[in-house]
Amino acid sequence: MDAAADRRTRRADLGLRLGIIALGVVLVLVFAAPMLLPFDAETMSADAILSPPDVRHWLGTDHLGRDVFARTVLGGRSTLALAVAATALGVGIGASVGMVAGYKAGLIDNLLMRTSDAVMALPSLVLAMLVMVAVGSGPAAILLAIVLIFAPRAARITRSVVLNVARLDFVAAASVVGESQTSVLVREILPNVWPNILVEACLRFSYAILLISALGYLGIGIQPPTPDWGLMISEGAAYITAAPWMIFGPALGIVLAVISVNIVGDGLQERIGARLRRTTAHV
Amino acid sequence: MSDALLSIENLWVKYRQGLSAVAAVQGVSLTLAAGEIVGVVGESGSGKSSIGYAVMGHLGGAGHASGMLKFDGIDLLRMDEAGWARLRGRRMGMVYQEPQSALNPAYTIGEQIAEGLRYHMGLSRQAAHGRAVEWLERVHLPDPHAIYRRFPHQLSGGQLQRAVIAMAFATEPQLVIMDEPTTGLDVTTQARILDLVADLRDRTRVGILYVSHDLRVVADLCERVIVMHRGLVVEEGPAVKVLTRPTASYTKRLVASIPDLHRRRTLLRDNTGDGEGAVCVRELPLVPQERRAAPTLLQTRGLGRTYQSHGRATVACKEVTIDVRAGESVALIGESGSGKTTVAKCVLGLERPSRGEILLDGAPLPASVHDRPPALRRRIQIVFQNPDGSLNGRRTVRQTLRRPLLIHCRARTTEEADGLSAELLASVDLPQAYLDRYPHELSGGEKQRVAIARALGAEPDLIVCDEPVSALDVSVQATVLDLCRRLQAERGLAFLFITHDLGVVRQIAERAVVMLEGSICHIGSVDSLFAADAHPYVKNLIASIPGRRFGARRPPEVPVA
Repeated sequence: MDAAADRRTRRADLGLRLGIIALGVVLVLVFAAPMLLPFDAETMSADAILSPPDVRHWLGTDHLGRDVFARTVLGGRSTLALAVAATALGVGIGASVGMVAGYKAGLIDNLLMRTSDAVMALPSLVLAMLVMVAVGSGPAAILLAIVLIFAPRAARITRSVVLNVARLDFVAAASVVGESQTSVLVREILPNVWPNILVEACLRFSYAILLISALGYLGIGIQPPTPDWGLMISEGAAYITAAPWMIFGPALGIVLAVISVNIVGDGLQERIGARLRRTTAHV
Repeated sequence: MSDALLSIENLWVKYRQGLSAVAAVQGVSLTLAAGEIVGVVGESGSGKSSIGYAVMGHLGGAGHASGMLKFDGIDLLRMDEAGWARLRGRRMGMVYQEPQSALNPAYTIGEQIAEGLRYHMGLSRQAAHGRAVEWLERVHLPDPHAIYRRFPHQLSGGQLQRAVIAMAFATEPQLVIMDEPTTGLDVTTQARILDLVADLRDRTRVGILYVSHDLRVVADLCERVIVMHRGLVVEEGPAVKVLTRPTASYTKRLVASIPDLHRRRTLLRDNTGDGEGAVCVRELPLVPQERRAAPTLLQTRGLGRTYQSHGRATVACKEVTIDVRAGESVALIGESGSGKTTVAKCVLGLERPSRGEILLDGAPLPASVHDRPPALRRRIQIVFQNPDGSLNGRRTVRQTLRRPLLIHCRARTTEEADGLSAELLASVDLPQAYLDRYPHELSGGEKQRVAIARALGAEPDLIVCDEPVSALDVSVQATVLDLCRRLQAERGLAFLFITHDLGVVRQIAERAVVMLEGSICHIGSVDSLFAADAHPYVKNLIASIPGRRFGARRPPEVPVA
């Protein structure tokens, strides 16, 4: 094997491990810590407004006297859960559409892909705002918006891989042996495209975190008083000179989550690439 | 030899693999004089290409050459990059197997030839243009001025290889290394390219190191030949002598494996595993038993397929009428673009015919494979040319073989299917342990056997084989052909055997159908191909088959059907 590719694989493998550890820390903090917290995210306390970080309030308190650490951790919980659901649904639907489009070709392909082109023509945030205006804000609306943003892209990527796989001889051989079209898609084509779908999902997941935060920041995402990273940064921005700690927690949460997910995605991509190089060495 | 242009002594080439190293070439010595063509013959993995790469200094980061490698008195192993830049392309040229990837698709053919002339020979833009056109003419490309302005994708494979040869020879090198330059080409194109190479050698006195797996080509073209096996030279000497009267057992086996044009033979080998065993050839009756009594299994009636693209219609095949009787094997012969693969795809339902119909047992078959009920699909199976593409790399042999058994209810449970799969593997001479292997853990010949086993799993009446052995080494080819013949005898299978190799046709087929530019130009027994009144194209095809110097192997009296 190529020595340079070998080195790259090893480096990406190290990154993959570090990324998984970082992501694990984020997940443990977000999903386990709230049970141990002495504070409620929505309890206001008049005698601790905008107090700086100390032993009691690790990341200080906000303008209503709420504990920033508690809010960060709980905000992360809703953001991450929503991001996972939206990514899984969006990439899942998109990948299914892409598989059918790539395999069936012709009219069905054109219909599906032109529709997805039309959706893709709208910038993500504009599309999200349109959805919010149409169905109102709330977790369900955010979910719908992100699915609409992700599905066309996932469809396009999946379709391009399927187009390459579908013309290979083993796909024809499966039909000749007697497999139904669904069976050909699931048994023969899917195992060859899912690595690409997985990598796409990883990269999209970090984008979903950013999108949810951006919507919160703009005030059209999660509504107060529910804690949300974007919303917290937007609130903290008003007090940036008086209480800079207010945005530190949510900002750190976004950065940690996005970077660790991206590293995991890159590592997966490289590892899958290495495996493909190995299994298709003779082609 | 003092006047040697290239002298190689005790050359070792090693490739680093992780912490260990693999020695691809183990102490090879050879000399090449100006104006001489030396052939390096071997099967895949023999290290033959590594010699060429070592001479060109193209081993790559993981490769390392040691020993002595001298070109015109220059020590190539102690050369710096600047020295290589003066040699490569100027005094040494290279012609690769795939002309498509040797040329840059973004530049015209002419620009790429002229670039070398300007860089290496210091010609002006205009002079280089003129010289490039001259060379395009010298390699017999029609209308060289027009070809100069064409892009690689606008030329056929044969034309491209001529352009690559022109590029290699244009800077008037002393040595040209050719690595399987005709392997991807049709036989008639190959014959013309070989004539061109011999002619260029005569005119320019270039020394040529010709690397190939095809003994017949090497016998026709080269004066001397070295035969390589696993990095070692097993035999060397004058080409005709080595190839007609081989002394090493490996060479004997290699020569015996070449599909013979006039005799049907089977190879009997002692299966000691490493393939080193002595070879024994048994002749089979020349004319196989008559099958006139057998009912017709498959018929194509006036089959035609036209492709529409950008408002232009391309006729892939027209008016193709073929009968295949039960248990019979019919060869469908043709060069690339003759429409033979289109016919096969129509029969399988992978391609929708534009006109005509396909009958199985007299009943019309639906055009698309997905419209054919499983019971119908079961009866026609396929084995593809490229063993790497014909198996799903993500599924084990067990998972692949299980499917036809379960779909066609030959097995009700997976356990039952596994038992039958093991039997299928045994019938293609593979051990049961292979069930849990992935395709990348199998060799090319083994993959092809698994593909045959999958086809057998459906218990078909007819197997369409699309060039099933052309991607395999010659010794593996012979064993796969043997397998096909045995299965036909044991199971009464009919074969539609698509091929361009007339030697393969003789080994497997009873009747032959020859296609030319989409239509059938000859139908008859295999012997009728060699008859005096055969179609001119068939005669040309036979004349193009390399191995003319194997004269002794071609019996003078050809039986006429």
